[in-house]
Amino acid sequence: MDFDLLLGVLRFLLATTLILVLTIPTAFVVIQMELKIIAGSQLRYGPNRIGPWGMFQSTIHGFKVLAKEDHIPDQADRATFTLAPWMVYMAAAMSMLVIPFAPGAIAADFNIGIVYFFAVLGLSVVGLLVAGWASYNKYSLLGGLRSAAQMVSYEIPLTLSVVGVVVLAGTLNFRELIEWQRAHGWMLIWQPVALVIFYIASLAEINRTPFDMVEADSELVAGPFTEYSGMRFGFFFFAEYVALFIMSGIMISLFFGGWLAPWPFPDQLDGFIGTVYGVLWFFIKTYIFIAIAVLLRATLVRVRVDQLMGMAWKVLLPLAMVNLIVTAVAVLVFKL
Amino acid sequence: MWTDEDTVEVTIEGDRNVAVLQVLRDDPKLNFFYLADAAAVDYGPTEHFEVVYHLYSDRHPVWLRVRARVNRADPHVPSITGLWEGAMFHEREMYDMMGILFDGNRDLRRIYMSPDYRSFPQRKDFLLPDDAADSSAAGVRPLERPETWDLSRLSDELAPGVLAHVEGEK
Amino acid sequence: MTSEVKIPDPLDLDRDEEARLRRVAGMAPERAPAGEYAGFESVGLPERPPQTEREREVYSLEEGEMLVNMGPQHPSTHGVMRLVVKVRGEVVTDVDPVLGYLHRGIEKLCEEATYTTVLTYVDPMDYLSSMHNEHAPAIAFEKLFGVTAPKRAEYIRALVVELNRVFSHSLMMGFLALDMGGITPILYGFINRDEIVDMLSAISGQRMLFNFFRVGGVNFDANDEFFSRLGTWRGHVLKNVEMSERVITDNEVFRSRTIGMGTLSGRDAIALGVSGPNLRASGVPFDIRKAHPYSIYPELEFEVITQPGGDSNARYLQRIAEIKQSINLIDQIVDKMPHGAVQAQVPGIIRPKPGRAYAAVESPRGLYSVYAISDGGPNPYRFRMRDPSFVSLQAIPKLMPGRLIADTMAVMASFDPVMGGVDK
Repeated sequence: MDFDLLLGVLRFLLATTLILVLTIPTAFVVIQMELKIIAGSQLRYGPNRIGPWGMFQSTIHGFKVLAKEDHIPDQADRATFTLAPWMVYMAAAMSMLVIPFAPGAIAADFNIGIVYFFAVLGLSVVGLLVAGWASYNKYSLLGGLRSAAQMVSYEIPLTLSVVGVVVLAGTLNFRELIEWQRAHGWMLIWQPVALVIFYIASLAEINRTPFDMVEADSELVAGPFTEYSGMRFGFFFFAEYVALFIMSGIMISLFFGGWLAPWPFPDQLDGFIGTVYGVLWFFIKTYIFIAIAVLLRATLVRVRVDQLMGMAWKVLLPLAMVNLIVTAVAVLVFKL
Repeated sequence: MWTDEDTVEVTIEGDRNVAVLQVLRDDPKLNFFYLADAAAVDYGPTEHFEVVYHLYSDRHPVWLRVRARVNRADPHVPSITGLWEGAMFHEREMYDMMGILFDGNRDLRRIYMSPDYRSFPQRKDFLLPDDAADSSAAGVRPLERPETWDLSRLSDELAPGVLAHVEGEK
Repeated sequence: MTSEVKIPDPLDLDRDEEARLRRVAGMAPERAPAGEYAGFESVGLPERPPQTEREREVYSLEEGEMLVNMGPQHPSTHGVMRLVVKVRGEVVTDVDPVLGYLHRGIEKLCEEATYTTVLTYVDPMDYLSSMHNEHAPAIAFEKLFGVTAPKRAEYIRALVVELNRVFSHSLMMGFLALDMGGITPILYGFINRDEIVDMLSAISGQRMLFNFFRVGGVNFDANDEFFSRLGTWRGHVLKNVEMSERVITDNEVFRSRTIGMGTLSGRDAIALGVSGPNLRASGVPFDIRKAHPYSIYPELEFEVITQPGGDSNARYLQRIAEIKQSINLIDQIVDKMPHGAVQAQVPGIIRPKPGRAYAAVESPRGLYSVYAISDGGPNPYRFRMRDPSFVSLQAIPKLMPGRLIADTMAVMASFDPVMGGVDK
């Protein structure tokens, strides 16, 4: 038994455990940001009693969700009912494995990191669909089908826009992609159209306003999550915010340089300080984009479902394909 | 009876209401195009009903009040939903509250009360629920009638004293 | 007796008991089986064949259709109303509003109350425009009593009525956005409402159901606190309105969800009895304040605003324009307000003359009118209120077929019904 292999396996296990453990606090932080930012835009205080500046409100929310009654409808399919939140949450947690926090701090530095990420993301679609079906409730079923349609439709422009990035950088590995950006400048100046498509599609993928027909289907009921209570609902709830964090993290890794610092600061430092430096910049950039997504939620109204699907298929998809073709031709012509 | 100065009143028989209102609406010199209100009045347990329409015209500075007299024993009136579709809810309310039937209304069902309610609350001879035993809706629900109670279900263990109370009443 | 008392399952008990009671009462033994009118049970209506033609139309389902209950508890805020929506997939094919969840029997109640008490009973009808609810009966009763309110009282009435209009329309803007998912404008609307309500509480003592009007005038005179708050408010109200407007009006998503939605032509609107801003947004210049002036409106200068279009966006823009118009009217009223008494001198015991009186005012939702019949006694003989939301609600089944479910609430919010008025 190779000692390196053993070390590698141990490191992997440690990293994945850390990731799993850290998803919950991530969700807490993002939820807290959302509560405070939305409150600010609505000219009110937001939570300000639990902890200094209301910092621990979302933590308490998490514990409250644990304490609620766990209720399964009589005729629901117990196995799949239990499986659905697990699937959605695991999709979020698994995709955190490849997020490039810092030069030495990627949990799993796969050579096909980007492909892995988008593959795993699709698991959440299945989770929502299963949730809708297993609830034995026709409104949940409709909501689940609608959410599946939305997420599947937006996955295509999402991945197509990233293919342009991959073609330019020549690699599917996140770390190498960021090193490419270090050498050639951040991807946003090379692929601005892809950035726009990616941002819109990512908001739709994680069911954030203005694309939250799924959960805020307030005309009827709460969509596929209707029958879920307690920690089962907690899984869905936290998975949404973890997915927001993940999407923002991936977006900055793809387009905004990942852990690289912007212009006046040194790009990247070495050693342990370098890791901390990279993680810091990663988090700063990610939380800026999370804040933008939250502000969008505070401001915009919901897009109607047919307008949503129309935008995916009639606008974003052709745009992504054109972008891809232009990028590919440019790479060939200019031998980039 | 006195009426207010900015209204002109017309009193007609109930079955002529569609004809009269149509003329009022369609005649270009009158042009009472807007139905402001359709209400029902009950003049007493032995008197008639009245269906009152208020109309507005842009050619005349007054409101026009058309009072259509309706027989209490057989309260049928033609429906004006053919002239103004918005009278539908008004007529439903008049049916629900007073029990006036509108012939030709496609949707004459109760609007405020529940569909199986059997009285007409705004009539002058409507008895308040305290006099439920005397009202025309009494006994609709079997629990309101003592003969439907199954005394064998009552036992002293579940509710001490209840048997004595009930049997004592009888 | 220590025998085992077996507590039966409540569901079984109810079922057996109901069967037994039905037998004893001579009613049909079971509920009618689901036949071609199978739609009833799924929406919780009593199982019975439909009574009317329209009911049959709504509740018989074709292939692929489904009845969905947007039931009395709404996430949206108009009050308790149930909409039975017949959908095919995502498309609405028919709508049946079921009313009466908030019915309080106000009309009948007012027949047992004195004329002054009636003015307190009418407040909670359309609770967002309480002043208008009181204004119409006050005018009708003044006709019956033969008293005239002094000039200052009329000016104060017009002032509070216009303030009420401003905050009611601000709230409508918020509710429209809220029903479509925008969570911020409602709070901006409430900022506006809060300031006005503080003002009105300085003058009438109440924040919501004001109980301010009396037969022959108003209850309290405008005091210094009222005018000071009014002045402060006038200083920044236009900026506030513009702030809330900016979030929504040019928002592309909002525009794509309201432009072209729920288009009501002027002719249809008149036939349906729609009034107020909804009617004016369809291009019909019918404003009671100009059409049949009451109070001091003949002395104020304003135009009737209309919008072409008649869609939800037009109704929204109409209300914004009316907010600005009302602010202008408030400025004029404050400038012209005379001194004097605020309540007419009437004898202690006064009886109305037997007669009939009709009074209509322009409420933020439309034509609000009162028809009062007096028989000379201390209580009105018949007190009838015509609420604008009640009649406007009939537009919903006309507009919804062909639209998506998501539009139902949006279109309804643009009509701004308040269930208190609908259900009386």
